[in-house]
Formats: sequence, structure tokens, C-alpha cells
Amino acid sequence: MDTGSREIEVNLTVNGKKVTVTCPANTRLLDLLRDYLHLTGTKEGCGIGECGACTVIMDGKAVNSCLVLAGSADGSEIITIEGMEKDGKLHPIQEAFVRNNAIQCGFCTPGMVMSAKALLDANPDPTEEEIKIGISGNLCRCTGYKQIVDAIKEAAEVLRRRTA
Amino acid sequence: MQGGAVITAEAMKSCDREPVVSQMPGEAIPEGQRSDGRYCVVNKPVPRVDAYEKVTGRAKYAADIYFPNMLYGKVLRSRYSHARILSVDTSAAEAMPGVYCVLTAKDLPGEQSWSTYLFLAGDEVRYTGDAIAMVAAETPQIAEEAIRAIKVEYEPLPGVYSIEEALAEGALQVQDYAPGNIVRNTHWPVRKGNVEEGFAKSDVIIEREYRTQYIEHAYIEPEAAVVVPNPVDGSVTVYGSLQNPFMTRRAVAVALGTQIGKVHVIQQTLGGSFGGKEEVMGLMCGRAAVMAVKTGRPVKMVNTREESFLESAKRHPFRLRYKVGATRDGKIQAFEAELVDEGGAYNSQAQFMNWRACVHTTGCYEIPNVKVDVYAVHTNKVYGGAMRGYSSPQVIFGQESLMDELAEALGMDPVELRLKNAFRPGSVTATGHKLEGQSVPLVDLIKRVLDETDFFAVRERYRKEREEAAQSTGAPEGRLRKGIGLAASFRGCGLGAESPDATGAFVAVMDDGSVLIRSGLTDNGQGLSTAHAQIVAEELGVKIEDIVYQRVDTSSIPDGGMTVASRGTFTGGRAMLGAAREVKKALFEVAARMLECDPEDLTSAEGIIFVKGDPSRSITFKEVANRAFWSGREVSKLFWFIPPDLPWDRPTGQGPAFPTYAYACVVAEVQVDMETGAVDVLKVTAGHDVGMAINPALAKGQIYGGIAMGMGMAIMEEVEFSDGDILNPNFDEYIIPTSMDVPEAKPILYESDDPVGPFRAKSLGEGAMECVAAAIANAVADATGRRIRELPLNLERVLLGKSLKRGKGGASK
Amino acid sequence: MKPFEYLRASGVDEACKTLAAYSGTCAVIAGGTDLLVALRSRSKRVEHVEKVLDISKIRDLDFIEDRGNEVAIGPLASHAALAESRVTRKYAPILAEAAKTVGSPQIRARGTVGGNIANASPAADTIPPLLTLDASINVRSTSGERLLPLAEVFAAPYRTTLRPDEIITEIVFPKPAGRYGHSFIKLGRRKALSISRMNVAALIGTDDEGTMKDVRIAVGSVMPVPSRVSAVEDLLKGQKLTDDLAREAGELMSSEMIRRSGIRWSTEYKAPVIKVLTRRAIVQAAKRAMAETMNVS
Repeated sequence: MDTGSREIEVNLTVNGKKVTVTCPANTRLLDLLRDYLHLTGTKEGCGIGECGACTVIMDGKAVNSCLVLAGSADGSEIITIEGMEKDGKLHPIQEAFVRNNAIQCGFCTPGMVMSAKALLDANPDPTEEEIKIGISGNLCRCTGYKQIVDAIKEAAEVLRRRTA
Repeated sequence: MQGGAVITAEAMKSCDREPVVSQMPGEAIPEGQRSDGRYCVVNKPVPRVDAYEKVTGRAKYAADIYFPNMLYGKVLRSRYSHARILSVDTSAAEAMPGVYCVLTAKDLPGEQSWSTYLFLAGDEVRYTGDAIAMVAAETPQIAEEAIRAIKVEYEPLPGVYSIEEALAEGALQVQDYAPGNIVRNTHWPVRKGNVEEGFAKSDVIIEREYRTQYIEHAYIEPEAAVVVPNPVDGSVTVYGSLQNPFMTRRAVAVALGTQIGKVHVIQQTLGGSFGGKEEVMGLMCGRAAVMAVKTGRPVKMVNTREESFLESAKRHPFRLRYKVGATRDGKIQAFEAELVDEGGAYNSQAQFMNWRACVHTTGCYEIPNVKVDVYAVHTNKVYGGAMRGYSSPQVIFGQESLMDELAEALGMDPVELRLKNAFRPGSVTATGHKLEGQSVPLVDLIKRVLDETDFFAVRERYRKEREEAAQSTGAPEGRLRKGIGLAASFRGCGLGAESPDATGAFVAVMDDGSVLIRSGLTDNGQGLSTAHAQIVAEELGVKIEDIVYQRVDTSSIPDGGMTVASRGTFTGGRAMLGAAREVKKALFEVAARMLECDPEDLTSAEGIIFVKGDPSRSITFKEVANRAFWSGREVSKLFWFIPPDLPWDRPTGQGPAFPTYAYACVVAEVQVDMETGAVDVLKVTAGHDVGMAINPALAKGQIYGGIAMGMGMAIMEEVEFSDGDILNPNFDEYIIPTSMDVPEAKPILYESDDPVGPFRAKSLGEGAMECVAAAIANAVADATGRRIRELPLNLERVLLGKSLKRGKGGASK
Repeated sequence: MKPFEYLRASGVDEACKTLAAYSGTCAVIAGGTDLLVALRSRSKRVEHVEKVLDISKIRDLDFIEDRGNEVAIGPLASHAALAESRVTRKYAPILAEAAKTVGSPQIRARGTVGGNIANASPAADTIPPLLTLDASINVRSTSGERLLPLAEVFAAPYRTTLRPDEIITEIVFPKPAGRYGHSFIKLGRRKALSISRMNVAALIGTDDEGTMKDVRIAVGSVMPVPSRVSAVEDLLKGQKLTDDLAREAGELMSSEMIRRSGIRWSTEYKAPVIKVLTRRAIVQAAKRAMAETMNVS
């Protein structure tokens, strides 16, 4: 039986790299990424899973990293916004965000991109309604979402053409 | 020397360097068309210059900065909205391992307050955001524990929690210096004509009262700052999420009791602000600076969302009282208004935003007799401040609701009433400003929006559907009612007569041909850096990729005022244009010598300088830049733009308030569930007189975002209080629209020929949201047949006509 | 964030032993979507918590199974799984639909049905549907296992009747057999990330003529705890639905609410609106029952 501890060791894979972090037990996955790995592309906006700025992909699913204990992420595979660019080339979702002016202040953008990725990985040909649902856990105060939805639609097309 | 440069066919095709042919004011030009063959860089939807860093997560927001040896700061806030502090015991916190300083008001090295806000309250707290003590510790967790270990003894005092309570006879006075709780310097009257005579002439007179709510900016990035001390000279460097770095610099200097020049402020990528990251950042940076100097270590402070709600400014709630009279034919004869806003416990910017309110009180209509009084009151609640629109969204909600109600009383179509009274070229505003020498395309803009929305036909269809639905029973869909509403507005561009609107820009050409630009105004996410880069690229005739934008650094550019009042492009753009012009002049002189021609014969596009009409005689911008640099020419320029003075007569509120105005017309379509009060905003069509859009994609982005924010104001957002305590300080209960909530949005970029702004651009950022709530409220009234005079139109108000509130002191009037 | 010690269990027995050892000071974490919010704000509800036991890695607790006449759901089944599972969509569409309305994709990916029950929020969206499904839960501790009806789990807002050393191991309900229709109506202040202002779940079984043979109605954020409302069910049972009857059922629901919850700040709104939501849910469920047939296969 585990007797518990205030310091824990977490082993996980982040953007394809295995890492080990020792941190206090009340550390969240979000803190682990930002304060320990300095992957600051993942943002904190509310701390209670409402704004989605901290969205990362954990074992294939978009999650709020502020609502995942570091300990619960042990053994998991995490993809953050820093893992989207490959060999200096933007991911098609990122390219579509740039082309469609889907970015204003940019604070929600990394979380938005991760939600879009999780959506398109699971559903390569979403309807507009499905796209809206896919990003419904990501608040944006600047854009009114329109150009973001357009970007994801376009990215889906590009990705489909690529795999076709 | 002949340049080896080749002008691409593309460059020749895409740019015609002839001067812009003047268009008739008011002529609507479909977006994009006008730029063809006219501009290379402006009026084109070029991608944002900061898109790459943001979409990859590389952009560094203030909370993303880490320094070795950095401490984390945290603040203890008041438990009460009004109390005397009897004692503060910090001993337990000080004794905690990892805690490096615990400070209270008595420990502050400089002033205790800045403007009227308190870095730390000493003996009295006036709202729940007031800070009492602060700590710096090794980790955020230790700082949080240390804060919890501080013991404060309070003597709770009664408070003032509404406009009525503040104005009541013998009311407790929130601030010693504000008798009657009237916020200092906030009374702005307007007197035009004689309202008594106007009412005497009127056939119909109505009196109405409307109210708006406390609204949170809800930028997704909570406030953050890192202050790094320099033990050698006692200076500090501040990195922060700042809308107004120069304002922050002043606050930090006050907190430290040091010279302004010793505070070096560097703006980080800003995660939204909307007017919000002003006072709260001055306070945060001031506190962090004091702790950084005290400990000799960098101090980082990051607000939780709850802390952000507690201490950041809010949109002022307004009580809007009107009396308006018109003759049968729909001519408005007299307009009397008393607008009172709730400023909360401190300074609140009401002295400025109430000026804007007084200018815009009567809306975009020509009215001969006007009497307006605007003033603000203090309460023991969080202070009001700037928020996108700066009083206009509130004022327009009241005034445009009033127009619909007046039309109803007259038995007249509300659109006809508006068109009959709308500003035209030559109209005289309520402040006595004759609209000449500027574009006033309001009437045509309204007509264009009516056409685009098929307004009259849709209104008629919804009316028929409602009648039919009223007859069917049972089925839930039979209880759904659709409605359509319209609102129009005008908005003064820039700061106008409110305060000095001068600003600077720095343009420096490097010897590799790249161009460094700096402004004192900030990119808050709206895309100002891109707009400025486009303006400079267009003027110099270089590619946008050649422009290097550096964020605001207070030690590298003079204080150019605040990035407010949608002046970033409108005013800041003129400074950029001025600097670029002077640099261009110097470069063309060098190029002329190289090409053996007169500088006047030259033009440039896409990085190539060439002889007009003879593109074979050309040279690259880069070669010229290089030659200019090595021959000692000045190819950098700090340009200071000073707009003409605008005289203002305060007792009568008469004067040319702004250099020019931007017009808007918004139509909203809604569906209301008559049995639950749920409002579904179906579609919003927003027509905006942009002058010319420097970047149509970014301009549309402003409009889409404005629609969403306006919709939140209309139907869902409200900071709730119980005796001054904020009941909904996070996004679970303070709700803003999600992707599922926003309506279909249709922006119309209406171009007009205005000579004032850079490349004819007018302000847009704030105008984009100011009409939306009013249009939605009018649509809801159309759908339900019932006028609700208080925002937001949430479930309870729409169903019951009043709000229901939990907590004390929150009862709706 | 409140400081705490972290423990992890890899099996149910281990979890029970840990809970027994630290009974009263140990909170169980699965998806974390409720507990971490409470720990972050140091809510009174977690005042006692010194240790957090992570059960999210216990694979045995994550399942949705067709067991012949029953459906069994592991407490770690996420809202996303409830919404997407072939089994729930076929035999408990009311639950699948309700799960789809919870929070956001991120919350649905992490939040679990067991957590929803243990958290006992009066506004929980999966609970009224489970109540209409006559769900029971299996709970285990070192002293053994017991099965209790879900209706007996909720003591007060955010308080269950479970002992601190007990862990939910399974949620089971019989498949509705015959002609059934369902409705789940959630009224929120926005369309996503929305907390139920009120919700109504109705599961109605009819005969081929449309007489309501089995009526199950549960509400959230209406009574002190999520509950079935037998008075309304009894009114409808044995009847054919008419507009008047549906309306009468709504009225009864409203007076039941006032009887059980008393008059509160929100009653002025909730009293008329719960009538409407109840009426709509009943009408939709009864219509669906007539339109489709649910078979046990």
C-alpha cells in the first residue's frame, strides 16, 4: 500500500521525449509543463477547467492540464503546442490559423490548436457544428471564434487531401 | 550607378503609385476593390506579423518569463468591502522557511497610493480588492501559505453598494475627498439650445430609465509581471502584461519613491486587455518592484483568475435617465439626460469616460435642444475603469432603446425615425460641432445595412410567424419568438478634446535594408503591430517582411500616451506615417544621386526604388539604405505627431469634440423562448464606417470579436455582488460566450473618404462592440413585445422582467 | 492549491486498504475535474483532506458493459465514453445525451461518472438520467461490498451517504424493456461549459396504444438533491398523455419543488420554468416512446 508523500516522481513522455520530474504532490500537469519543463506555450487562464488555455493532448485526448495532477499524468504521453511544429515546419492547423487571421492576442491560441488537433485526429471531416463543439471548451475573448472555425475547416481539408 | 534591380511584373501590376482618387463622401465601396491597383501593403489582409510566434506558443507573455533566483509575490486582500484594520500580525508568515519578505503599508518606501489606488491599505479598506500585505517567497506554494498565515483584525463598517445608496441623503462617504460620493471631476454637462422650448414644441414626450451592469474584461490572460532589480543604481526593469507601459512606469516610480527614468518597462506579448490592464498593472508592478528592491531578487507576480476579478477595473454600470420630445413628423426637438455611473471605491477613470459619455449621449442624431449631465459616484465596490467602448456601449444601449420607444410613442417606424434625425454632412452635434471636412456616411451606411439584412422583409416575416405561433398551443416550438432590431452610433476617433492626443513613432532603416519600427502604443492583440508595419511598408515601398517590430520599451521611445480610445491606428498610425515619410525623403535623396535624377521623380514599391514612368532606372531599397548609412545620412526618425487643438467649453459642453467620427449600424436577429426567457442570438450584421481598413482581415477580426463581446453584455454577463463581495469571480459563473453561443456574424467594411486618419483609416476597435448590445435589446423587444430596460437580458429578466439575485444588497431596482 | 500527500492505488483492494487506513483524511481522485477545483479554492468540502488517493490507473474500473438484462458501468467511465459508447447509446440514450451536455470536450474526456456521483453536485447532469434508469451502485470497503440504489446516495448538496472508506466499483441498471421514450432537458445560461440551472430527465414506457405504463422522472437543481419525483410519476401512470395532463404534471412538479425545497431567492423563476421543462420533457419522452421501440437483445 502506498503510504503517500509530499514529493513525487513523475515519468512521462512529452512531445516524444521521455522526462522525469520530481515535484510536490499538489503540482498540476500544467505546472509541471510550465515551471519544470519551461514549456510555456501552455497557458493558465482560470485554473478550474473553464477556459481551456491549458489544453494539451494526453494519451490522444484533449484535456485541461490544470485539472490533471502531475501524479495522474505518470506514464502518459503528452503533446503540447511545442510538439506541433515538425522540423521547423508548422502543422497544417497552425498554418491555417495564420492564413485565416484566427489569432489576436494569442493567449487562447495554443489551447485552441490542441483542441483542434484532438478533434481532427478523431474526426477528419467535421461539420461546422462539430468544430464548434470541438472548441467549446476553449474561451476566446478577442476573435468571436469565426476565423478560428474557418481555420479549422480549412485545416481539415488540407489534412484530408494530404492523406487521400 | 545603375541598379541591377529587377522590378517584378507583379510589383508593377499590384501597385499603381498614383495618388488616390478622391471618392465622394458616403460612397460605399465593396471591400478590397478599392485597393486594387492602388496599394501594395495597406488595405490587404496580410498575415499578422506576430502570427508565427503566437501559433507556435513561442510568444513570451509576462507569466512565461523566468529568472534565476526569482521569488514569487502574493498579496493578501481584504475580507470585507469596508472595514477598519485594527492590526496585522505577520510574524507567522515571516517565520516560514522560504519566505523572503512580508510587507505592510508601513513598509512602503515611496507613496502609499498612486492616483488614488492603494498599493497597500493601512488603516481602512474600501473594497474587497484592497491589499493589506504582500509576501515574496521561494515558490508560489510557499507564498500562498505565507499569505494564509497573516492575521488581520478588522472592524467591519457599513458600506455603500449602489448608485441610490451613494446618493442618499446622509450617505456614508466612501472617500474623504469626494463629498456626496461624487467622483472628483466627473461631472460633464452639455447645454445646447433650450430644452424647455424644445419640449414645448414637441407633440410627444417620453421619459425612461435604463440600467447597465458591472462587466469584467475577461481577457484570457490574467495579469502578470516580473520585476528585476538592479542593485548597482537602484533601478528596476519591469516585464509585464501591460496595456499602458508608461502609466505603469509612473506607478512603479511612485511606489519606489524613485525617478521615472530609473524604471525601465518592457511590454510582453499581451494576452488581451480591452482597457483592463491599466490600474491593476500599475499596482501589481509597484508592489512587485518594492519587493524586488527589498529582497534584491527578481519578483514575479501572477494573478489567479479570482484575484484578477477582485482587483481589476470593471465596465462602469450606468443609470441612464432620459426625457425626449419630438414633433409628430418625427423630428426630435429636445433631449434631456442624466447619466450616473458607479465608479466603485477609487478614482475609476470616470472623469474621462464621462466626458466621452457626454459627447455621445444623444447618439448620432441632430437635435437642436440638448441638456445632459453626467457624473459618477463612489461605492464600496471594485472600481470602474476603461473597457472597450469607454462608456459608449452603456450609453448607446440606453439611447438606442429610447429611440425605439420614442418611435413606438410616435407610431412611427424606428428606422424612419433614425433616418429622419441622423447626422448628415454639415449636421451640428450636441456639442456644437459642425460636421464639415470629414466623411459623414451615416445615412448611406444605415441603408446599406438595411439592404444587406433585408431588414423590412425579415421584420415582417418574424411578425407574421409570431402571430401564427401565438395561435398554436402546446408544442414547445410554438413558444419561440423571433425578432429583429437595429442600432446606430457615431464614435469620436482618438482621444479628442479629452486629453492630449499626441504620440510618437520611431522608424529606423538598417544598412541591410530592414526597417525597425517602434511605437509608444501597444499591440494588445488587436494587431496594431501589423497595422503599423503595413503603414510603414506602404509608405517606404518595402515588403512587409522587411519591417521589424519591437514591442514597447519605455527607455527606447518617449511616452506617447495610452493605447486607448481606438487611437492605435488612427493616431499612432499618423506618427508612423510621419516618421516613414521623413526617412523616405532622406533615402530618396541618396537614391536620386545614385540614379542621377531628381528625388521628386522617384517612387518605390516592394523594396525597389525607381524612376516614375521608367522602371528600368531602378535600385534596390537595400543598396540605398546601405549607401545612406555609410555616407552618414540620418535614416532613422522619431516623429512626434500632434493633432490640432480642440477647444472645449466645460460649463456648456460645447466644442469640436473629436477630429472626426466613425459611424456604425448593427442589426441583430434573435429567438426568444417565451417560457424560459432564454435568448438565442441568431445573427448579427455589423456595418462599420472604417474610412479605409488598413488590414481587412484584422478589421473583420475586430468586428467578429466585438459582436461576441457585445452579445455577452446583452444577454449573459454580469459581475454579481453581495455587500461588495464578488460572487462570481471565475469563468464557471461569470460566463462569456463560447464558440457554441456566438451568432452568425456578418461584417460590412464600409469605406468612406475621410481626410483625417492615416490612409483615411478611422477608429474601429471599440466601435466594433458598442452597438451590439443595443441592437440585441431592440431585437428582443421586437420578439417579445416587451421592453426590458436593464442588462443583461438573462433568463430571469426576460421571463420575469427583473433580475433575481443571491446574496445581500443585490436586489434589482 | 491546498498541499496534500499523493497516493496511488493500482487495484480496488489496495484502494480500499488505503482508504481504511486514512479514513476521514483521504479524498479519492479520478478525473479530477471536481476535486482539483475544490482543492484549489480550499473549499470547506475538502477541509479534512490531507491525502489524495489516485484511482485513475485502476483499469478494472473503466468499462461500459452489456450484461444481458443489465448495463454495468465502471465508475471511471468518462463522460465522453458515456456519450459515445454503443451500449449506452442503445440502452440508455438518456444517459448518453446528458453526458454530451457536460462541460466541454476536455471535461468530458476526464470527468467520470463515478466522480459525478461521489461529488453529489445538485446540478450534476448524469445523475437524473441514472435515477430514471433505476441505477444502483456497488460500493466496496475493507469490510465488504454493498449494493445500494442510487436514489439513496445523496444526503445533501455535495454530501453522499457513502462512508469515507467506501469506493464505488460499479453502476448498474436494468435495460428498459419494451416501448420506451426518453428526454433530457438542460437549461443553462449558455450552450457549452454550462452549469445546469435546472435539468429534467424523463423515461416513459408505454403500451402500443400510448398508455403510460412506466413513468420515471428525475430532476436536478430543483430539489435539495437530485431525485425522482414520484408524485408526478404517479399522476401520469396508466394515463394517455394529453396537453392538459402534461401541463398538470408540470404544475405538480412545481409545487413539489416548493414543498421540498422551500421558497428561495431563485424560486420566482424556477417555479414557472420547471413546469415548462417538465411538460416538455414528458411530451418529448412520450412521443418518442410511441415512435420507437427499445428491445432487449
